[in-house]
Amino acid sequence: MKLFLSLLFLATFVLPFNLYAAKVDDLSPQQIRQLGERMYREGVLPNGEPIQAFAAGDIPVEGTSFTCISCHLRSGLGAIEGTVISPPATGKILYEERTTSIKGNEYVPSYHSYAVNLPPRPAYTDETLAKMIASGVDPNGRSTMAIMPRFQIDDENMAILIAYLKTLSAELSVGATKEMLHFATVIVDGTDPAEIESMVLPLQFSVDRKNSLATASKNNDRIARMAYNMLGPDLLAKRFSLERWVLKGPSSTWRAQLEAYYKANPVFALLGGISHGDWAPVHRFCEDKQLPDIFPQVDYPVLDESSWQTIYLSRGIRQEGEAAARYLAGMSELFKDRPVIQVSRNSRRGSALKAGFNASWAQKHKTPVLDISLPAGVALNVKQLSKIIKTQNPAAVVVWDDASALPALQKIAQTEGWKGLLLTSGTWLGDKIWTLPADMRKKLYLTWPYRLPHENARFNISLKRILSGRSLDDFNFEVISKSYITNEVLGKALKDMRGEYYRDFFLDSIDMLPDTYFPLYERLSFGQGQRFASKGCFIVQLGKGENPQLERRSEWVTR
Amino acid sequence: MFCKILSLIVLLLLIGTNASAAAKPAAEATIYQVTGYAYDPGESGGDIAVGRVLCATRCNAFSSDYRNYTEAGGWRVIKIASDQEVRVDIDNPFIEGHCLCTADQYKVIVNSVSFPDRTVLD
Repeated sequence: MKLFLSLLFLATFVLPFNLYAAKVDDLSPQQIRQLGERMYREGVLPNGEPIQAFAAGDIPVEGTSFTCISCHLRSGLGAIEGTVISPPATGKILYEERTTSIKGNEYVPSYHSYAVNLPPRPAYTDETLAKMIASGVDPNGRSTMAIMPRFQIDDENMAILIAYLKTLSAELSVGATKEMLHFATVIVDGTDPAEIESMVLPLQFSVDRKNSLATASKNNDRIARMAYNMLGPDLLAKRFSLERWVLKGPSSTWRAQLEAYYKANPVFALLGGISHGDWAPVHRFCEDKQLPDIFPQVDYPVLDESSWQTIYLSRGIRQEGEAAARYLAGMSELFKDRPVIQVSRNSRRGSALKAGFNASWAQKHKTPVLDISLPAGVALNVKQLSKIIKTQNPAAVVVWDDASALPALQKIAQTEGWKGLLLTSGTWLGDKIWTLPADMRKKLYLTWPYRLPHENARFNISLKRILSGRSLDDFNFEVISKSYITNEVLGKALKDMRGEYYRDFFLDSIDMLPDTYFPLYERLSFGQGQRFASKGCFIVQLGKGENPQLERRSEWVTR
Repeated sequence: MFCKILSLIVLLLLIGTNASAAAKPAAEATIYQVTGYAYDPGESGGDIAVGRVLCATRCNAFSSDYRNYTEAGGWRVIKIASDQEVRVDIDNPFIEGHCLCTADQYKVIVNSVSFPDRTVLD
């Protein structure tokens, strides 16, 4: 009888699994990667059908809504969010016994805090892993959290998924070695040297400080103990390098230049970078090479929601236009069929602001905006615009132009009998924003995508720490602030990575950072797959007095 | 001669003080965290419902995120009053009246808990 039951068990569970596992062996590594990745990331079976699953015990759900990636993240290394613990799901970690500490890092406080959250268990086998995915029972016989769905996957597809998990974050990413982490920053030739220096200084400071710490830890036990507690033995010993990749000539030639730089030194990630013009070739290069790029300082980021590798500080110039439209939309009931007029300079900046405004406006309103384009070199025609205002009686006039438009704006604001809202870009006015005449301040509204300057001044103390005694006035304030943020986020992400140097985990770690308060931006927020950290913009007016401050007229308007 | 040198030193010190003071944030500030809002049309006859919506935005604009002060490092905020009614101009060309923002009042001060002698943060 016992023999019969054993044979029945083998025939029912083990043999079919091995049979299908043999079929998986017929697939090429690339096929396994493609099919397994689709199951892991999209919840879709190789035949194109969604994976079926049960959530919270018995609620039938589709795997496309409860994908593996949404909790275990793209790298498979998981995360802890509040009380929800998503342990690593990579073969490398699953097939090792888990204890209450991470081998080699037993005394690192942050590693310990992480490890004690995960219950000990023996190493998985293919069979116990398949059982866990299907029934939520781990090798200890203990159920996983109810939040983990139980997936109905047949043996053949289960074998593909398991084979994929074994490849997930299995080998250290390019640019990371036992001794080194290599980084580069991309500089577009022709950028103002002061801006380049302001961008590079915080990054170089970070690299130099890290390397000094690695050296000092070798020679001084007390420093070594402090650094061990902060960083763990692996990150402590690693040295960083930072290359400058300067792109010359037209942007159509950048790809070849990037390829050459990358071939000579395949870095782990790009940090920062600066361009006031094109950035798309760098963005595409990073996507193709699966190379992370953290916070390039660009006016026109690539707005592709499906991209993964580049995290931008914001949606660039366009974000001001979007915020302006949302602000006006909030009071549009008061417009009573009066139109909105948008005057925009025919330049890349003017077009970006206009596009952002129109796209946001169209989300809530069907009434079109009356667009007026200002050709390059042609000043804002006050007479013409005043005439339009008198005939159309617009509720709002939005002007996207530089400070040369201010005299005209002043006259427009004084148009007799017109009661409407006049709005322009605060950042495009530059320093002239502080010289607005008193009679104009009450009438002109401005977009402002940063923390208000008088509040931001408190954060200068952070910036001063990296200046090595030099004055903040020697640098471009916005550029050095943005680069400082890059530097801080890099440090936080690396500390959270626990020595697992995979590019996807680097991006996952940034995605999992809490809202942060750094110089310049009101706040930065992150989230899985979110690629624009600052999501808001204020609408402000210039206050009264000889030394006026910007005053908020809106909350942090978000997209 | 000595007097001239002394006045020159004093002058240089004064210039130095003014220049650095301009770059510094105010040592102390008062901020508000808004917990409620209302619209007061006064005698303007403004639409109450629309005014209330606009006052939500206006009062939010008046509110400060305290972490913008504490996260910078070196400052702390202490609550000095609860549920204050603060009257602010609605600042809108289409409607007149005022917003009544209910707010907790905080004082931002240099964090001298660990350094009792410190009054200014450079």
